Amino acid sequence: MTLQMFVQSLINSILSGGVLILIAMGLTIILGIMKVVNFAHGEFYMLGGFGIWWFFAEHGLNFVLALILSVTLVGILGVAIERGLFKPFRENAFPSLIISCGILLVFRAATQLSFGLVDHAVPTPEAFKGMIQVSGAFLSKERLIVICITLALIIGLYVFIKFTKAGLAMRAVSDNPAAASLQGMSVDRISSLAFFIGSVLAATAGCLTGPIFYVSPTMGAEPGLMAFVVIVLGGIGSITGTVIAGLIIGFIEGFGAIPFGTNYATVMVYVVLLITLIFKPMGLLGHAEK
Amino acid sequence: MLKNRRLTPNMVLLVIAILLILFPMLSGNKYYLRTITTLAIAIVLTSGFRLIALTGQLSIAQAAFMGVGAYCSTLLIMNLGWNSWICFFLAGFAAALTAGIVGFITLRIKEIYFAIATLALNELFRLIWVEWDTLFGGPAGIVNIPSPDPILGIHFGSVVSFYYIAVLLLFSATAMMLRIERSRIGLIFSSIREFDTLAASLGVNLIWEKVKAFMIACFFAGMAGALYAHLQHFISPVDFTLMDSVMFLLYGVIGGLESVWGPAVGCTVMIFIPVGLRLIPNYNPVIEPIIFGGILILVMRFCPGGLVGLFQKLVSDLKKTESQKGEQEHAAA
Amino acid sequence: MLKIRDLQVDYGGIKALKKVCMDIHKGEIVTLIGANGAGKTTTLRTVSGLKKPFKGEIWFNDMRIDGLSPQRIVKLGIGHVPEGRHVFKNLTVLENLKTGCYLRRDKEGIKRDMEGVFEHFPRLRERIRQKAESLSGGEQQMLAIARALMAGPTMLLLDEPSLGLAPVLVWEVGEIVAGINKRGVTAILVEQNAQMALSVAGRGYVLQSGGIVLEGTSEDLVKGESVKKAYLGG
Ligand SMILES: Nc1ncnc2c1ncn2[C@@H]1O[C@H](COP(=O)(O)OP(=O)(O)OP(=O)(O)O)[C@@H](O)[C@H]1O
Ligand SMILES: [Mg+2]
Repeated sequence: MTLQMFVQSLINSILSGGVLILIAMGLTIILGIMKVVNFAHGEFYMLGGFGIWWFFAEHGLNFVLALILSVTLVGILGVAIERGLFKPFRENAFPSLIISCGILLVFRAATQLSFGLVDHAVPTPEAFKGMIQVSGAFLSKERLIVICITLALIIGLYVFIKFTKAGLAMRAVSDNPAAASLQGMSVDRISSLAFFIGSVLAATAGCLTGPIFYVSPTMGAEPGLMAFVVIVLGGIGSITGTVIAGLIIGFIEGFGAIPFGTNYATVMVYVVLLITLIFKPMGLLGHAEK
Repeated sequence: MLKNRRLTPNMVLLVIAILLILFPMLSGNKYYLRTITTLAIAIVLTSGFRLIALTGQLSIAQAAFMGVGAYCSTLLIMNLGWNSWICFFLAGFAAALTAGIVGFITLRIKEIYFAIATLALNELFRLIWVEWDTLFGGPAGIVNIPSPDPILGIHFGSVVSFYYIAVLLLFSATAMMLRIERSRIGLIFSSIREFDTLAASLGVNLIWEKVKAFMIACFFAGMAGALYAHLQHFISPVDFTLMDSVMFLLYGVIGGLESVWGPAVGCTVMIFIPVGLRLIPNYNPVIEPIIFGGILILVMRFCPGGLVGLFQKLVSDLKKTESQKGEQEHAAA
Repeated sequence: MLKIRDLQVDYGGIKALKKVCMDIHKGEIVTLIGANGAGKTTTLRTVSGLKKPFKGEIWFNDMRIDGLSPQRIVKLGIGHVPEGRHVFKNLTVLENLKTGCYLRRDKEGIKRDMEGVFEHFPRLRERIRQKAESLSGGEQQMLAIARALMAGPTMLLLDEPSLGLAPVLVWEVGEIVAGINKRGVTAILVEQNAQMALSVAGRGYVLQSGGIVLEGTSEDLVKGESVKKAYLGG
């Protein structure tokens, strides 16, 4: 493996791992706080991608503005869905899973009806263009910037959850909703907050990767699925577990893809998941309830 | 007065059976025959899913086990020239055996973890079929799968003959499910679901019981797969995807997982709705998922017991009002 | 301070409370005793807003509070230490205490109360960074009480705080409740251990299958034959 290839694989690993973590974080927060299994979570990623395509590529808005706009819209949509559809099924994993499948089908078909089943290209913003040379290896500036933003968001979320009052409330509600409401926390509001953060993070991931890959109605399928693999591998409810699992999967995909092909890399991911679950049925850092 | 109007489930079953047997003689419409054949396969798969769900496990890999059966029988017939009827059963056994091995390892995993593990399993099988192209034909699949061998001079190959095989498979699978439902195993299964630890403390070997349910379900899935291969004369990895496995789950939920009849009702409704919709001129099938998703959300919101649950509720409400009426008449007299 | 009038509560049609009336005055400790399933927990849950009543009224300091959300009721100054401890297992001791003052904004006051709590429960100070799930049963119970105190309540509802504790600790809990009361917190104490409860409380109510069958001062209840027989072991 040449240096160039190694560095490229490294960058790709961190990129896909980071994007996965961004999507999976929201998923695990929502699952932890509301016990809602949201199979439609990948669709927020897809909608984020379409947002950036619509506002930035089609209507020529400034990239940052387009990102903020689409992310906010998806966040509001997420809260609306939480309030309207998931709320009655809080603490009730199976029905919420079914509801989320329904939402997934509707979203995917609706975007397909509106924008067609084709890939839409999003141009790279000017500021992201170009290459950077580091000790003989060329790195795409775009990917580096996306990685930096992703890492900043993950750290920001971690700090938010660990050190702010709202973060404390989120952890308290996911630990014991009844006791949390006795401390004056509103489970309704915390749930909506969790859904907002989750859908915003997924949408951000969609916006950031839009210019790197293509935007299409089915783009949420694979990351949505992989995000589940990440949270299950890491252990549901564990933020650290999610980060570790996301990086593991990112590295398997990043380093496996070039020498063996993407399919073999995916096989590896699933094999790692199954073997881990056989020995640790609650994932790497998950712990049994009670 | 009430008695002679009452239909027992067995009578309903008999009527449906007779109708299904007579149907090809009443209507020669090949399209409907094929649709019912596919429907029968879907019901077999969904009932299997339900059987596993009775033990409290959510398997999102049923399509993969159908694929195991399909590939197994196809390869034995086409590469080794074995008799297709033997292969038909071997397909079931192969799927059940795979399920046994896989289940013994993975059924210790619970809840969402198990669901995701099976989901990974389905993808794993699909990727194996895609990548191991020397054996499984890769993404292009296997073409020119022959019709089943003739028995006693009867040839199988027409749409009608597949129809009858599918109906037979459906009957045997349903009979099996009914037997399980009404037997001790059925009780054990549901006790596992209700009280996992309690059942364990009563000495029920949980893993073995779960593996049993898993194997029975996958046995029928495998046979359905073999039938599917003959029916289409062509199989490829896209026939047995994750999305198909999810569909069996969703069909079951729409029909209602509490009842043995749920899968049949759910599959019938959800497979015939598109058939009906396609009669509309200028119809765009892209909206089908929207309708399907909408139905799912509505069912979960307003009748979580599925259509069968809804029906049972209506019937019991009706009975209540009727008996009230009867009492009033009594009082009046 | 707290007035309960004709309170009726049901769980899906099954009546758990039938026309319960109670009066709790400022500065009192009142105990609620009764057999399992009598409706003690239900009474407390309804007062703190976790359960919506079917009929009846609850007044707290001349304000009607039945049907309000738990958040509003906590804010008004009613703290609830639920049955079965219910500390946040995955949070540290300090974080658990911080959830207690979730609604408070007065930094100084919080600091003062935190010190007060640690004086009361020195064992919690030693375990401040430990996860709550690693505490012993007794320590978890202390934590649950301390957490409720962090909200600065004027009235505290305690649901079987001695449940599952060693006999020595049961009396310690009694002392703790008395201590809290001395600092001006009115308390309703639900107890299986009627002996302890009646020794701490000034008055008591006896609940039986959802209705109050007896009420009076602790002395009278202790002397009364029926209570002796049913709840004090003869
Ligand atoms: N969540 C619930 N759903 C249905 N019924 C309930 C529920 N909680 C309590 N009940 C019923 O309400 C009645 C009163 O219960 P409650 O918990 O208030 O009793 P308790 O006096 O606290 O008993 P214990 O001493 O066992 O704690 C009981 O008959 C109980 O079965
Ligand atoms: Mg109680």
